[in-house]
Amino acid sequence: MNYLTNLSVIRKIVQILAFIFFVYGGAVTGYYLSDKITSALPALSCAYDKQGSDFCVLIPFQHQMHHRLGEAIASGGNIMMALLPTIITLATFLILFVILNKAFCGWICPLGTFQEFLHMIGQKLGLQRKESLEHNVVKKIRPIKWFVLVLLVFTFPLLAGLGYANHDLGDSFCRICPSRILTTLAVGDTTQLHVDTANTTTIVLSIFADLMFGLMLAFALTIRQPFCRICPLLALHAVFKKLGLLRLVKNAVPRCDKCGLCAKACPMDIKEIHTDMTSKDITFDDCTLCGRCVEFCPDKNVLQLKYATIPIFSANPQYFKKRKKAQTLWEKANLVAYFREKKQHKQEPKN
Amino acid sequence: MNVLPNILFLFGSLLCLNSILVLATPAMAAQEKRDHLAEMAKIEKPTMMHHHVAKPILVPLDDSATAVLWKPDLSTLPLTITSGEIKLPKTGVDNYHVVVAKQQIDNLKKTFIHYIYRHGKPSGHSTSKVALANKAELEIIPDPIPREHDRYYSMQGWSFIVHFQGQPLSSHPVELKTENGSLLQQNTDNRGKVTFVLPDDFPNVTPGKRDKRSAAMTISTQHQSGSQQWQTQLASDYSINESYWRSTNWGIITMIIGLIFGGVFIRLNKAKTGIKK
Repeated sequence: MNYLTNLSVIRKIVQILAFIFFVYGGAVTGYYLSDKITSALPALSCAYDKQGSDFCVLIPFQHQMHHRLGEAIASGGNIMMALLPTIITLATFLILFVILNKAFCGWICPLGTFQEFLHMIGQKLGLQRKESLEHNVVKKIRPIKWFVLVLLVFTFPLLAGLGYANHDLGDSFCRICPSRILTTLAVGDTTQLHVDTANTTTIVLSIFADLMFGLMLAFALTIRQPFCRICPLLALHAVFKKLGLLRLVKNAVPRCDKCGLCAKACPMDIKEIHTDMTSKDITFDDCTLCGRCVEFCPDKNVLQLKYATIPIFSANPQYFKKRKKAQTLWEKANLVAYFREKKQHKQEPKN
Repeated sequence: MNVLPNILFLFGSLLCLNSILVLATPAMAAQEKRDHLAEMAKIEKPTMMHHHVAKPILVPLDDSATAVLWKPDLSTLPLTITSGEIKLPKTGVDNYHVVVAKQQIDNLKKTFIHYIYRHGKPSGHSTSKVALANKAELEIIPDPIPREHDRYYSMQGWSFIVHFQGQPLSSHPVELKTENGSLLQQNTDNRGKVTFVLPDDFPNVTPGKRDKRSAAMTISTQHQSGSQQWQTQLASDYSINESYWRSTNWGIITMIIGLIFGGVFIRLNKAKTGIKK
């Protein structure tokens, strides 16, 4: 299969370019936060990375809950004025979000890219990969992202601003975010991988962050997108997914019931892509619009990525055959298979 | 038994437990808030940090000196020096502003420069714009200024560029003095740049305990051309390095524990988890 017609290869190229741009692009855009492109990126690019070109929308949200809204309520200030920065941030986020929708996760997010590449490394090392998680496991994990969004991004910072919670909970999500550790390490800054002994809260948060980063590294080698499943941005995207122009569309046919290849291909294990036979727009809450389900759908136009009403990538039997073959070849090539083959070659002359 | 979600829930529960502990003990939270405010009050000085309240700026020049405030859009506001202090007016604009005070005594031109972050509406201008603007004949320019929410910390290397009439001054002596008594001297390189590792000279710092103290520092230089002399001073604050209470070594160890735990977990539980090949 021609690599340039393989959607996964195209996506990887976009992901690498986005990673380089958002993690190291400060050399082009500028060093200061005022130089950053939007300051409300719908992807986990971190402001602690001093060489980055932009940072994620969750940072200003937490800051505004803590230092604007919380403090304004606590001091009896003008709440509407305190909400204004949040409204501006949300508007900026929405302008970007309308353009790409949840594809910010599947195509742009540096942390998502990192996890995908770790998974590829795991595959190439011959580690036993877990193709998909059981649906009941996935269902149990799904609510976590909402708790993280509501509690860590909005509630704790607001309570810190109101004076009811420790000041160190003012940026509670940032303190546990693996993107903070990843992007700073990527630019050679080790200071964010720390245990902070300032007080109980910082000790718990920093240990949690480091442990979770380690767990993410281990899990990502064998499980697809482990952190993405609990990422609060995925939840925030889900709130506004109907506004995005890019969508995953399904034109169900009776064969869909028996097939299920789309769900197997999905890195987020969204079984509903396969089982939902009624919805047209199947951009589910957990969907990252990566397009793998469309690639692995064997029936013409059953699954489509549409931009507004225009299909930009549709399921196609010819593409499916080539893609499946390419995938099989790709998965066969790993270190374990290589050494097994080498061992067999050595044994053959003796026999 | 599905272990994977249980692990995730365990971490979630740990985090919630911590929050509940903090929230369920309002006295403790209130005490921490009071401590924080007290700490902030102690360190509230004119500085390059992200402060909400601008304290008067101490200017080491006579009241006859002229002073202006450079806004991020490079417009200026006249300032008044009273008893060696400048009270900053509100500009309503976010981002770094620069106080520049000048005085001429016979053939000596003295300049005092201080960068300060002010809050307000987004300025729409890059911080580098006001830093690179030609604000004095002999000028020490931070390269870079600590970013918004950042500050100068001890043990960190920070660079400054010396410009004379808009051009870099090479092989020129520059001096850094701190309130805690340290004195560093270096010469600029070909690009007029000098880098100082800020001294770790705070007394009685306890490892493992957060200490938000800061102290004043000045970076100064002078230049002579014919009978005319110039002296300039860049004033700022620097704080105790966070590595005293933030251990990277322990961070790495904790991450490795997570990594090992994750690896062992996957290996031991692949047969009995909800994970299927």
